[in-house]
Amino acid sequence: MTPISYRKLPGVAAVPFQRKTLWLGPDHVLSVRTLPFTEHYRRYYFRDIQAIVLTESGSSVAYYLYASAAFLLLMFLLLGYTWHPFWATLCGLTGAVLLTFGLRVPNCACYLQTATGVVRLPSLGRVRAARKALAILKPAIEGAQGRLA
Amino acid sequence: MTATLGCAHCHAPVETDAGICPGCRSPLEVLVFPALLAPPEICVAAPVMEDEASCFYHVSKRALVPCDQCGRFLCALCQIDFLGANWCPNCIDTGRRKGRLGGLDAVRRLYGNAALSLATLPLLFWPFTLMTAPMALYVAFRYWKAPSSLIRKNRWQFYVAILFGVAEVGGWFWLAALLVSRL
Repeated sequence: MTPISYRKLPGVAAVPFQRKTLWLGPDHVLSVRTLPFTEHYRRYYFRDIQAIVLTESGSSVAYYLYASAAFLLLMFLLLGYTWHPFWATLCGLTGAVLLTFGLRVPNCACYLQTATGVVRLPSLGRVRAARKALAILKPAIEGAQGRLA
Repeated sequence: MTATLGCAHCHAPVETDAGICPGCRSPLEVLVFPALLAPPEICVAAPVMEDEASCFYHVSKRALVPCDQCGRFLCALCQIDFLGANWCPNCIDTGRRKGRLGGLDAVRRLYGNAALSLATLPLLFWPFTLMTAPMALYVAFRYWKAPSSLIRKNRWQFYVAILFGVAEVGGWFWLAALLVSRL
């Protein structure tokens, strides 16, 4: 049996010691949950996928993170200008970390519906990544099922 | 089209052509595929008539196709379309038990990661390597050929684990030889 080759779809949901990703197979989508020493798989065959629903949901946490990062980066500039290198570096690094976290906060939810139920695709938590992934998935599913008239 | 779906955010029912959820007013993007509107598939195996082949597993049902693995005749109930071929339930079960059907695995153990962790993490408190280095080498060699990740085919973790394991065991031998020579 030849091994199935998979192509990674955009998007990842990562928490400490766990990553969730989506992979495109020849006739199915593979949802992978990677733990330090195991990988768990779920397969959604193209012929069984009924619908995919993407909802944009602005997160207030992200706005707080952006605001805090902007404040800290402004402090970085001011403290750098007044020559306080230690505090400027601290503010700059903290601001960069908060900005990174803000950019990773999920801002959409993507659900996949089959005849047996509805499952969330956690790796598609950012609108940009989700749109890219759906642009790859849609032709693959339509190739298996055909297009709706 | 009037099939109903649920909003991903508030789970309120939404139409397939809705651009905004009526419940939470969130912008929606809905992709609908023909499977949503297709009638449910009802699998009915026809009874066998005279001069017709019967299913191996259901002798009263008419055979439709042979299994591509074992050649047994299968009715509509027993035929499984998998990886572009016809399979019987028995061949699927046998293939899964013997690990030949990687496409059916729900869980895989990452022995490479385990060996690498055993070889490298105890370096933070190096006396532990006396125990963990041989364990890392054992795991690396014992599970060298075990099925690994479905998505990543490389085995660099095994190589690095063996490298570290050998270096640590060698280090302990060197330390022991040094101590013996001083006695």
